[in-house]
Amino acid sequence: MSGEDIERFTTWQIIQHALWAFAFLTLLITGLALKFPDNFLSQAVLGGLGMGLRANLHRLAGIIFWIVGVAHIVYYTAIDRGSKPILPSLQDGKDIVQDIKYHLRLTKEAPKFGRYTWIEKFDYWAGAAGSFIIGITGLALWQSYGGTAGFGGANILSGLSLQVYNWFRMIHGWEAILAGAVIVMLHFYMTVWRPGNFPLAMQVWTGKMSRHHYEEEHPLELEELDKAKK
Amino acid sequence: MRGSTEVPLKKCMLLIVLATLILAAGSGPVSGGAVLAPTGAGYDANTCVDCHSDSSKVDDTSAASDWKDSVHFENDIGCERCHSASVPAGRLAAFDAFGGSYRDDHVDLILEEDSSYKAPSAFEIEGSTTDYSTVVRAGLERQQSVAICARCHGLTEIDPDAPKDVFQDYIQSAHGQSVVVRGLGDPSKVSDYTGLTDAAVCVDCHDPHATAAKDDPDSPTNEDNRFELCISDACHASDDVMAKYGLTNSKASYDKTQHGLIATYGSAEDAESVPGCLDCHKIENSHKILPASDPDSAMNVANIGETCADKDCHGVEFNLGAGSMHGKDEGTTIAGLIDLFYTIVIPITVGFFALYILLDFTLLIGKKGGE
Repeated sequence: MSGEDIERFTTWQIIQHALWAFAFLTLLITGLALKFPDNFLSQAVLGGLGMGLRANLHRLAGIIFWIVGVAHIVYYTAIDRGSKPILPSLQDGKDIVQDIKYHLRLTKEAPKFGRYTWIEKFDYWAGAAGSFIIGITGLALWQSYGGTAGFGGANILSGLSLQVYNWFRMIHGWEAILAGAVIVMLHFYMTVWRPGNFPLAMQVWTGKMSRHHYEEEHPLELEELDKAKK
Repeated sequence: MRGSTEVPLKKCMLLIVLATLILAAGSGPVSGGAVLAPTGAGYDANTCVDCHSDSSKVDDTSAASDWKDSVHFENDIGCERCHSASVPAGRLAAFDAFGGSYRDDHVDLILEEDSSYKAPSAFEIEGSTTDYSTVVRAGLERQQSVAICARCHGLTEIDPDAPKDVFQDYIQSAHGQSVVVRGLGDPSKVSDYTGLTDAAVCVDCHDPHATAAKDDPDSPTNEDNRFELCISDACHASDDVMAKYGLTNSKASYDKTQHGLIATYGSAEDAESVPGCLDCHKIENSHKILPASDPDSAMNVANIGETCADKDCHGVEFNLGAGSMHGKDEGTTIAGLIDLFYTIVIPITVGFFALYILLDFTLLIGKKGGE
């Protein structure tokens, strides 16, 4: 049954990813336009939206990002108490070494991955760390000095010193550039441009992945799934 | 001559006051031996303006025409108020600087060989006792405008109607302190106005001839225009000038703040809502721009929170602490470490994965080709 589809993601996971993707891209576009206002693309964004709408869209997307993030953490710590294949393991270290050797053509043997490849785990955990840094600083920027214009200006952190605000602002921008670079370069390569996935890896949108594709990318998990069936 | 019969009572009174002041000062006429307050007979400013409005007589008529649009013209303040050395020895002894050494343009022209020019003089203008040969020539040092304007605007009682606190406010300001106190040591010696020549003096913001009231929409000091005065290329938008005084290019640093970004890229309505220089930096009025180190400054650490909360702006008293609105925090150690961290981490991350992607792509393409 090589035409069989394997269920890879649940509807809940698909929704989380879609909301995050939408929020992330909105944040990236409305944020970078402010970070690099002289760039012609930024000018198009700023000119098209105006400073007020830009700020409100950025905040709205930030709120969505936060809500999904909190729901994600609550769900996977309090509700779903099953095994967590996304957790890093020793095997990942071995996989990285093997994978790099394989890519450098030092060995012909490609590493075999389970449910998540080391790159997917990197995407997840680096993304989580980055989201935490950007999320905390962003919320602080908004609720301290940035709260006057636009909605939700409660200024609950008005006691934040301007110096800390300025540092937060730097960190927020830098971390966003790092996150943007990883997502646009690495994540988009893996899911859009990579031969085999082009023009778009559909599993995160439909939840399903072909058995053939699964065999290539996650053979170890497939073995276990087959074992469990028997 | 018309002047002698039309001198208003006020002017006579003033002249009496002047004469009294000169005597009281004990220094008599201003040094250089040349000169004297107009005494009694009257001085009709139009005699200057008549010739200086006539392009067949002078090359540049702008001074006279500008003056006719000025707030000084409206208030009957004529040429002699600024251009005549015939003033009492005020506390600034304004004309020490000119005594003896200067000659006026009229005299210079007369002395030119083959000159057909006839300058007006006290001898030629019947009925006048004003010594025109003491008219101060144009091209004064900028800093001298402080002393000249101060004659009416605060320092002496020459004109009781002129706004008086201007000079007192200015002299307390960062600009005034730089020009007068730090530059001079002794504010009574105008001739020592050689110190900090960059700080703003009266004429840098107020055109000496076309002096306009600030509620005139065309005035450079009007609320809608004065931002440009502060951030002119000669002043706060100059890296070189600012560096001399340990300041940053205020225009460049303001532009990077959220206020500046909204001012530059926001809609007209948005731009209107953010503060320009004076909204934060002035105390009471624009003449009194205090250094942030002054406890009375709106930008002093103790007051800055209130300044932000004020004026329908933030409505919340921020605790700004030692932070800077003008990006100086970017020069601190922590800021340096933040920059350093990301300038190392980002290229390494991007470089590593760029290489990985390149190897992966060629590997997969090769595999496909080999299949």
